[in-house]
Amino acid sequence: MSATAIAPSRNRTAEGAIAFTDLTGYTEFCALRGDEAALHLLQTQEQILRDAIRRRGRLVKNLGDGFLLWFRSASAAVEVALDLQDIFDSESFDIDMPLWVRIGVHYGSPLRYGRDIIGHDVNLAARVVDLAAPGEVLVSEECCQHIRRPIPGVYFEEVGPVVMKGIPDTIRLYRAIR
Amino acid sequence: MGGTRFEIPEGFRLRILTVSGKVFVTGEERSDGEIDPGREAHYSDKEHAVEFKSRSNSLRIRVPIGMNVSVGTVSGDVTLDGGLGTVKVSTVSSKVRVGRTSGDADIRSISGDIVVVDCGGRCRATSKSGSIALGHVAGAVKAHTMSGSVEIGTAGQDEVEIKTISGRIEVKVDHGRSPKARLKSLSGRCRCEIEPGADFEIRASSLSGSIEVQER
Repeated sequence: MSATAIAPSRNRTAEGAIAFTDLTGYTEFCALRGDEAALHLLQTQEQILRDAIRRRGRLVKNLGDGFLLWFRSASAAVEVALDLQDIFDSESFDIDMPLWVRIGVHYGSPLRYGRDIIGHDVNLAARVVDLAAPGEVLVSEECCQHIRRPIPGVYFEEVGPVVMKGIPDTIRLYRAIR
Repeated sequence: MGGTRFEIPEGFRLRILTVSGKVFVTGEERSDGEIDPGREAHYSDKEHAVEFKSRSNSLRIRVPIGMNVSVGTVSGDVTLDGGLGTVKVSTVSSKVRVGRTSGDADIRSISGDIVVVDCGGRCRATSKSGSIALGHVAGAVKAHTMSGSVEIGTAGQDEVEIKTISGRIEVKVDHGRSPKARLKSLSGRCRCEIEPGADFEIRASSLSGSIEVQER
């Protein structure tokens, strides 16, 4: 083996559903309402998120105005994502707080890196959320394929073929609807 | 045009994938399709789709009126015209212009502007930083953008939901329709010039842009 060869990874993979959330308009909200209000917005978002996840998944890391989440099952990820959007939607109009959150979900085998997860599938999940609208849950085809049993009341509408920057293959995305 | 003609089996839709090539699709009175010379159609019986792929070259395609079309691209501008069926477009930075559709339109772009002239079904338009202009939509509307302006024309038959961070929102409603308008802007002005009613609902929110609802 040459000196520059990469040794086989001892990292374990974390097969499961990877979800990104992204709070839109956070920067503008900060500028308009000030840091205290912005902090309250972030805390509210995080509390809602932690309550919704409970033991169904794991909050991998806080990204400032979004989160990286991991779920063992694709169904759990989609259900939590839709639950979150319902709560964010009602809170946004009721308490004068723009919890406009986009959520993207992909299924894959990222590598564990401490408590973090990394790799192509994480990057792809990040691209999925980029195309989501506030209030929307976009799901990759891989995630849909790993939903073993139909989730009651939930269906998926194809968004169309998606060509993403830096991702060689065409990705199929679906909008999760309840 | 003098291009290559291709067959379109009953019930098939057109699917186009490009990286940076521009896409032009025109619906016209015909039963087959036509594309620039040298292109080969790929058929998927499983997905009922006839597909064309390109990296950087433009694609000009003519199809029957009412055909369903979906396009995925990174940066090639997309123009769909001439009366198509349901259209779906996703792009990173392309400008998207859709003429008249008889079906739904679902357009999403990260930074490109979106224009839909006349949508005969429901319309969803999402852009991160581009503007959205939907001339007239017969069905429900969902339009979301971060910093661009949003202009919507609605028949007033179904729900209209608009969110923008800093852009201006303008909704024009067909004559005789009265909306239940829920308008909310943290720092912009909200104004509905139409007598309130219960024909349909408008939910429009902006952080700093103004919101205006008026009759067409």
